[in-house]
Amino acid sequence: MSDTNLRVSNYLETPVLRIMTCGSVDDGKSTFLGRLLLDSGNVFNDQLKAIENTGRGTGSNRNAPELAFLIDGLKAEIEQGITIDVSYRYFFTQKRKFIVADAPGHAQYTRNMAVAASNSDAAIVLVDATSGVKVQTKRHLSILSMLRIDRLIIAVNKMDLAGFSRKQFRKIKDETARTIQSVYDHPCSFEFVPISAKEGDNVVRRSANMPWYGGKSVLELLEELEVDDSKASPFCLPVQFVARDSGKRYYAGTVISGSFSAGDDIIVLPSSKRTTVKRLSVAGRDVTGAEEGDPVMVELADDIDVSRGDRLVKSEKDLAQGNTLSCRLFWFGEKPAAAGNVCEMKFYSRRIRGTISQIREKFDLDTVRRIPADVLNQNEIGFGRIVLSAAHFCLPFNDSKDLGSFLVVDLGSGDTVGLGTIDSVESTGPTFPYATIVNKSMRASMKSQHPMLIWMTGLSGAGKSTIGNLLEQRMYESGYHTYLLDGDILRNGLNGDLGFDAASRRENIRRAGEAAKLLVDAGLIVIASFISPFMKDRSLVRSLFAKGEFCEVYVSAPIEECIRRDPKGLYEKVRRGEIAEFTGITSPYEPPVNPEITIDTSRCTPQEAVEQILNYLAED
Amino acid sequence: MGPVLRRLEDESIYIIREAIAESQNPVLLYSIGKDSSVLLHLATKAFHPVKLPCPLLHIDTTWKFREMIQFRDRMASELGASLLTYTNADGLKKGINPFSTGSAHYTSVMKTEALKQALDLHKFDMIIGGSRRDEEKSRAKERIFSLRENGHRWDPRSQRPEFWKLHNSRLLPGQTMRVFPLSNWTELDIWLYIHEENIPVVPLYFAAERPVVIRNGSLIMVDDDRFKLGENETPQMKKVRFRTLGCYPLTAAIESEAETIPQIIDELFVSGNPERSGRLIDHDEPNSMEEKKVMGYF
Repeated sequence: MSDTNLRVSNYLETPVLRIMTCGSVDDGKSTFLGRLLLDSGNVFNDQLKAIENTGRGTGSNRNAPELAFLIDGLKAEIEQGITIDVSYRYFFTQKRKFIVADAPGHAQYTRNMAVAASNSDAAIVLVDATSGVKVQTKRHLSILSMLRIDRLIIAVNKMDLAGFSRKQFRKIKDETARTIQSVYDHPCSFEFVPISAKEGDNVVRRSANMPWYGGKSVLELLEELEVDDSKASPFCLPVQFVARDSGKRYYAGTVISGSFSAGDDIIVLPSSKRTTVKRLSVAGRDVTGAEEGDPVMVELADDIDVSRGDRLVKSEKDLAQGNTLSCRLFWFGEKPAAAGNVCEMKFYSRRIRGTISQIREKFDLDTVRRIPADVLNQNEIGFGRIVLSAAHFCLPFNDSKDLGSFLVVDLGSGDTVGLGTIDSVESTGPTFPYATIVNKSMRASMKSQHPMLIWMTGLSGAGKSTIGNLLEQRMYESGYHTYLLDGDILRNGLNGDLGFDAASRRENIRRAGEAAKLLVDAGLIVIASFISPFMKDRSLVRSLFAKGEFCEVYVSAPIEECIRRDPKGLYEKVRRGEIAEFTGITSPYEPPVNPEITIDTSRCTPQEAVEQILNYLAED
Repeated sequence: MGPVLRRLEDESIYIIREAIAESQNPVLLYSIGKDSSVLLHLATKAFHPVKLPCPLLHIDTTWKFREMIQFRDRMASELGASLLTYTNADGLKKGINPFSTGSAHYTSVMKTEALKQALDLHKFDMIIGGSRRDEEKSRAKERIFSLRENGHRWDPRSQRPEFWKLHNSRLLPGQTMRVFPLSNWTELDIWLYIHEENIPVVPLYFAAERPVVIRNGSLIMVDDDRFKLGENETPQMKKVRFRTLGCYPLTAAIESEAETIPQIIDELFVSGNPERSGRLIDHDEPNSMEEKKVMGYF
């Protein structure tokens, strides 16, 4: 084995890189992959023989084999001339082993592209140098973003047809970079490589046709990519299987984060029972400790009840508990997703029944923006809430892919109809709240009004309180039952225990939202005015209300104008250094993306602003 | 163990545990080959120190290499595992055999039908097998948890999407699940792991002088006296080994000097031929593996 010693040790010691190819139909995914395999010496002799004389080229290139045929598909696929499902290929170079998932480009089979994405460390996105970003490219990017595939290589393909032009490459590069920045709501790294999969430029070998490109080939970039994703997270071991043998019980599972050792005190969730780790083994070997990724078998000191799906942790605070998930959903069921759908959620080693309680927004591919929606059709990505029939211990997807994701399973067919990623989790009392005899609609009809929350957000001094007061006065005069919920008033009472750090500000808004919910339930029209600078907090409040019960009013004014007005003298205090954190000056304000109403108070009077709101409510 | 094998081992153990945990009546398909040996080794590790909580099932066509059957019985008794074997008695009675019946029909009756009969007989709901995606193009497209409809049919057009470690193993009456813990292993990974873990395999994988005849360009070993020699055929001794093992009349050998695992690994690094090219049944017709899978073959 001496000749291959070095190759074997490179192969074994460098972590495998899992990559995927995606992009729109005809942007050259299969040809790219064929070229990658061929030029890296990973095509078998008989495969090469099988594609001889398949060339459809012209001129000197006429006899070149059709590389796409190396990525041969299923009979059903060849019949239809499209790729239906993901195909996995395995190859290695001198540097490392690769698993490449070849994903379908066809819109109908986008779910399978998402399957490929979930199994990838990085994605190669093919974009046609002659035609640029297409709708399907945007769809793929939005799925990559949702699944947090944050290492992208954008291969601008067919450079041969674009005359190997630097100018054209730049144009496509700028366009694609803009799309990525609007689709991704979190940081990601991306590199652009001008390639010709057909001719082999910059796929494995650097191109002689594009001397202006000083960078690396796609394969060189892949060979150097670091894949270490692990971050210091607290210990969590979901129990996969309970094994019994001669009176003893053993718990099998994979450590999904952190580490633990024999002798450690642990807590079993959801029962919250405490015990100690007596003994453990990893993949059949007795060990004293285990870490992330290890498949362990654990013996506990006490004979307590532990079942599949339970989570072993060191502190109860390490996981979020709740029965209501604010989540993103990628829907691939034929029947649309809508409020009221009862499904089974398949979490990591645990199934729980649940109800979609709300679909709030969806991602519009043409404009690359979130737009209001109450259903999700096949292949759409949206935002909504799911209420589970039992409390669940999990984490937001940002913190843990394993604990923050779930499948949506149709109870009738058993099919997987959606994929969810958790944004936040909370408890909303019993899942199906106790039905009071007098309810919201009865209270509302007594008042002859449609109860709702009008939430005004904007900088201090933008005019929220002025407009809020005037609006309540006008509504009161028209016979409506209202209540004005003001940030300052709340801070003197209910929220008197809160400070101004990030967590307290968040809690301030959460309590305001919950208080407003009770008032709306009482049948009132609630007008709330809070700076509420963070989108995340505002969407949490929005998620507490049904469609039509929440109206976001963005009260905007230029910061200079707010400083000039400074009704409470706060900006002056900031200037003098008496207040450290202040929205708009030292901490950010995130403007709403799709507010129901936007008011620019530097261009209208408070009376005109109130008219604008009343007109909107009358139409709605 | 380096990160590549370590990760494969972790992934496979997770899948095996998940299948057993979600199943009412699981079974591990054991075909005696190197992949089955690795699968059995991993399954044993997955439940150590507890015994493997499911039986092994071997579909015996009665035409396996003799060394395979000896190896199977030795392994089962060493592990103390419960081994079930099944043969399609009806096919046997009808005299279906790999020489005169035609390989496609023979495989359909003695392997595919036999497997379906055995699964129905024992009412297994999750069937764990050692297929790998790098073996063949239709396997490259298959899910790790792969649904089988009534009659064990595979529908490649409507596979359930699976993400990360989330597998939907919900079954309606009549449906079963095939589970492939070795999906992401390559032939090279298998050998490197066998080497690392000292896993016993059938000696037929190592080069030795064996009696073979050349039929249609393939080296076929004369393993017993049921082998009907053609008029101009005389077995000759050649130094050969097998990259995969199946029914001996349908499994071609390759000429090789590789007598040890390191030599096999050496050979793989320079090899330019796919592993299953020695399986004659895969080449009955284009897409033949896909067709067999649709019908319920492994």
